[in-house]
Amino acid sequence: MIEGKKIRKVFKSGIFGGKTVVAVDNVDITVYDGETVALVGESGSGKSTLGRILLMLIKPDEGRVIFDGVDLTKLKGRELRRFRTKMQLIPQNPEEALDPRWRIYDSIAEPIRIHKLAGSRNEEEELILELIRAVGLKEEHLNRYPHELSGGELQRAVIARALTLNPKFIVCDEPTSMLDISTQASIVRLLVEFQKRLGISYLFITHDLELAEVIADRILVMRNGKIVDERSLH
Amino acid sequence: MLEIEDLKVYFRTNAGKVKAVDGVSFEVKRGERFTLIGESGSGKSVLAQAILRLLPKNAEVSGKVLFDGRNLIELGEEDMRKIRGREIAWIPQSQSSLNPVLTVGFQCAEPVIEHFRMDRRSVFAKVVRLFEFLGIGGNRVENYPHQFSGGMRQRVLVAMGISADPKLIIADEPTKGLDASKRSQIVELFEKVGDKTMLIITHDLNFAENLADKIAVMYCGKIVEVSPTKEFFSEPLHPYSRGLLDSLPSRGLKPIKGFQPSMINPPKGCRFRDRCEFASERCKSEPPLINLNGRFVRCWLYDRR
Repeated sequence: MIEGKKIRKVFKSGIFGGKTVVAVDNVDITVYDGETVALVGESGSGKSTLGRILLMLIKPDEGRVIFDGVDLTKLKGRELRRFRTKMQLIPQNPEEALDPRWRIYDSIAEPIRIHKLAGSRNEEEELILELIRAVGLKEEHLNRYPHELSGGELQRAVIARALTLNPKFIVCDEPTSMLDISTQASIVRLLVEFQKRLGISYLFITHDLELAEVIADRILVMRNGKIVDERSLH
Repeated sequence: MLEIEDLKVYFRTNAGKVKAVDGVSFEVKRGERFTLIGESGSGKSVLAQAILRLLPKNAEVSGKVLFDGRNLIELGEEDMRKIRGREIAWIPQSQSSLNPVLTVGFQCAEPVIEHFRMDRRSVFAKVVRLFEFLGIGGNRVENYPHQFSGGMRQRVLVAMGISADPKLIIADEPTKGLDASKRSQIVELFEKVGDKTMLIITHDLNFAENLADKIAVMYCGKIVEVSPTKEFFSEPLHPYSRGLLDSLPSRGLKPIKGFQPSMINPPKGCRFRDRCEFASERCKSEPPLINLNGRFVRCWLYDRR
């Protein structure tokens, strides 16, 4: 379970920080285990900022982020890193999510190497092969570079990378808005399948209300940095 | 008004010939909003660029593009320049199609200055009126592209497209990268432009449903169905059209099995057959375009011979 309590984030711009934008304004949010919460709103409403704060990729100005009872805003460097394995991001634009100069294999292997999950090269390879089969890619895709894959294939690779560390909470930031309709359907199906199998909870950020209604247990509507509406669907 | 007959666009590449558009025929009537839908890689943007002759040199184009009786494929570059912008306008995708160092007002005035030799002051007044009309605000003509949001930038592109009062407007994915509420504004915007003949290219089915009179579906370089909008959404004919509609969130989010085949070496016969649940032996030969009470479909299922 992840909880955000009274989260506030102000961005300053201009000389001496003269202009301020309140991106997230005093927001309370909870995502329970195994739940899918859709966060909908127009561009600029602060939904991506809120998602990144819950992952502690952006530090909030005020408020706390509590993951399984631990206050993440109080943790530092190494302690926080332990929790990073449990929370992942699937970004909007798969083309920009992967290093263009790395083969797909290395991008998926990176988190395994950083967190030393595999004892040997062989073990690492087995892990990765298992993962890419699960997301519907073939072995031959691993040796390619990002520009040699289609949008749908890339998003599958990004999902494989996000799953390497067995996360409990994933923020999906408009994962299908750049994809074709039939590709969107297969990617969303894939995400739902993993949730059933692994019990992951999702914060699904989207501006497509129809899509939100189909996949989410709960819908939160965000406007001007505030959550203005909440609806349960099941 | 616009008749396309057996249009083929092949690209020579190191890996072989890419048949991006392979024998496409259709007709856009005066005043009609004709929408071409298809997924990325289906060849729909290449088709539009072929009409305006905007393709790179390694493209081999054959067939006919008849615009008011003239075959655009055979026109010289000089004659083509007189048609682009003046008679056929092109509204490109909103991402990065505006020149960042020129004011938007100047960019909208350019086609008018180019084609009509009007004096600058009256052109300027015309652009201001156009901006007011499209809801951009006449006071924003002196602004630069970066000062606009995505939705506003799309409006500017529409203003640019219609400033010289063309006969035909070709719009390439006008809703790409915009969020849901902005998309409905773009529909209103196109409604405002009125009864102009339009060829709209999109993969946004909701947008097409709201705007189009007629829908053509493109798959792997071929048109597989042409239907009036209402009939298309209530009773799609081609198995691919059905698959596309079923993958909409509101219609069950059911993906089409398999992947789009490579355009260098597409399957012989029907190009959809590997992904089609109705595929049979005869799909291995090229299906004909069948006329069903004024609707067209390229599929053996509808062959009653």
